[in-house]
Amino acid sequence: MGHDWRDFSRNPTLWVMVGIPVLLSYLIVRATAAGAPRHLVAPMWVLFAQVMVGVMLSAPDLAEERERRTVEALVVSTASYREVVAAKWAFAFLVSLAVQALVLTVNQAWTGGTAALIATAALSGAVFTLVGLLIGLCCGSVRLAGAAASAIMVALFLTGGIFESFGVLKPALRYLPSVLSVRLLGQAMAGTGLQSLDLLCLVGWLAALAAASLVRIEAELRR
Amino acid sequence: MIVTAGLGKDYGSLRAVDALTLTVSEGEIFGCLGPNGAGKTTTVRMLIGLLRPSRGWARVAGYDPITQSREVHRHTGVVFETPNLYERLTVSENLALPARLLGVTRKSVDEAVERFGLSEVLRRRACHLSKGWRQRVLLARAMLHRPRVLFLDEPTSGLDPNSARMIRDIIRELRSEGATVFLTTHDMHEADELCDRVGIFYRGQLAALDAPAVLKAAGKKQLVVEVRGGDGEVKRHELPFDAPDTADWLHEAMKAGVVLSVATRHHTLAEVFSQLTGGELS
Repeated sequence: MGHDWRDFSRNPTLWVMVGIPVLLSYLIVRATAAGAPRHLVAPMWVLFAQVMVGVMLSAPDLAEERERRTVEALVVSTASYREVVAAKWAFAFLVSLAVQALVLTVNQAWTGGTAALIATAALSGAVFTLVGLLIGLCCGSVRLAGAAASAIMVALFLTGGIFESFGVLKPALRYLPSVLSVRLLGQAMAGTGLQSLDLLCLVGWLAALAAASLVRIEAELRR
Repeated sequence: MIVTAGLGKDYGSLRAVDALTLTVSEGEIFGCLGPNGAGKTTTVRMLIGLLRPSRGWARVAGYDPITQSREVHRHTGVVFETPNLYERLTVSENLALPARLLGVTRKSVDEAVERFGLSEVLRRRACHLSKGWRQRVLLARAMLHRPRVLFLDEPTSGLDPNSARMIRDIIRELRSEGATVFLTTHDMHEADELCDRVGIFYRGQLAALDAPAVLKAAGKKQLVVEVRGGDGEVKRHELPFDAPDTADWLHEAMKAGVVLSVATRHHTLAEVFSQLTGGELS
């Protein structure tokens, strides 16, 4: 983990990626929603932090390790491939939690139930970091992983924010992890309690993505 | 120290390595020769457990690289062909993580630093190192835990002559300390200079396996004749030693009184390779 932190701390691109959600959320929330309740505005920006850090950080990071074959240097130092990937995921997850906490703090959005908010942030952070991990595992180069991560990040952020405008697609989009995350964050901030269906669906996404990542790792190990 | 039997690897319909059976003894420098795409790197990757063989088996330091990969890694050091250092981390940091994973003491890291002369670049980031320095760091990383077997994949490829010589000196030192070295190269001179035995790989198969001197002696001899031409210029002719025409040609040249010298020479490893495979070295 310390090793990941040192590598991360010297990569300006990643600092920009982490800084953007915090700064952007602060500026936009202040400029456009002065009178609106926090629980209607802030979840969008927490989602932005989740997808920006979760997807955009972990996908190119893991792809870079694979492309430059640094992961192999760790594997021949007695770490298993599964352990290396798990450590990368854990690091990105912790950064995601930290950035979400920053977004909530600068926007004074620690409202409603704090425990529910932390649980939702953790669950959603885990889901989107797994999305990034899966992209990193499937893409053979940093460039490809960066492109795929950008496209998926934008798609997730947009659907999370404006899924209600998608007409006939709305019932299906409602179960996307980004929409679920925004809904759960809104519920937590409003203090209304988390809806079981939304929670279960997001846990389902977590399980499915974790399973897909494991399948991908095993496929690589069988090469 | 390294044993394989019928080891093979397929990528789809491509047979990258086929029926490789060999034994490398303790303290031996074994050269794995061949052009790019001959199956050398695939063989190394199977031996260190990074690739699963399609057929056959291998043992490294007595362990199965697939089912006992941790044990294999505890006893082996690897220098990959790609200089896979963390570019944003310093030399010191690049050594620290594998050292921690391998359970190596601070003292051992310091010894490796001293041995490979890395003190002056310890705080330098890997992205600012020359290829020669990178190679030294990679060797130091591979040697942190004093492994019994070292896999070196093209360790001198792309290095300037001085850096290459330094790496070769280190390899000799390792041998003198009893380490087994599995050296992958397509540099025939390097193999000739360093290796106790060489295996010549071609299209995934082991085309020959023996000491360099034996392989060269087994190759066809050449007759080297220097003659003075009509313009007074000295010309050198290389003729197959046992070809029927060679004797006639030499007889005629001697009758004409133009022969200055006659000598025989054995083939180089590169020529032996060409003879064995009909291919060319890259």
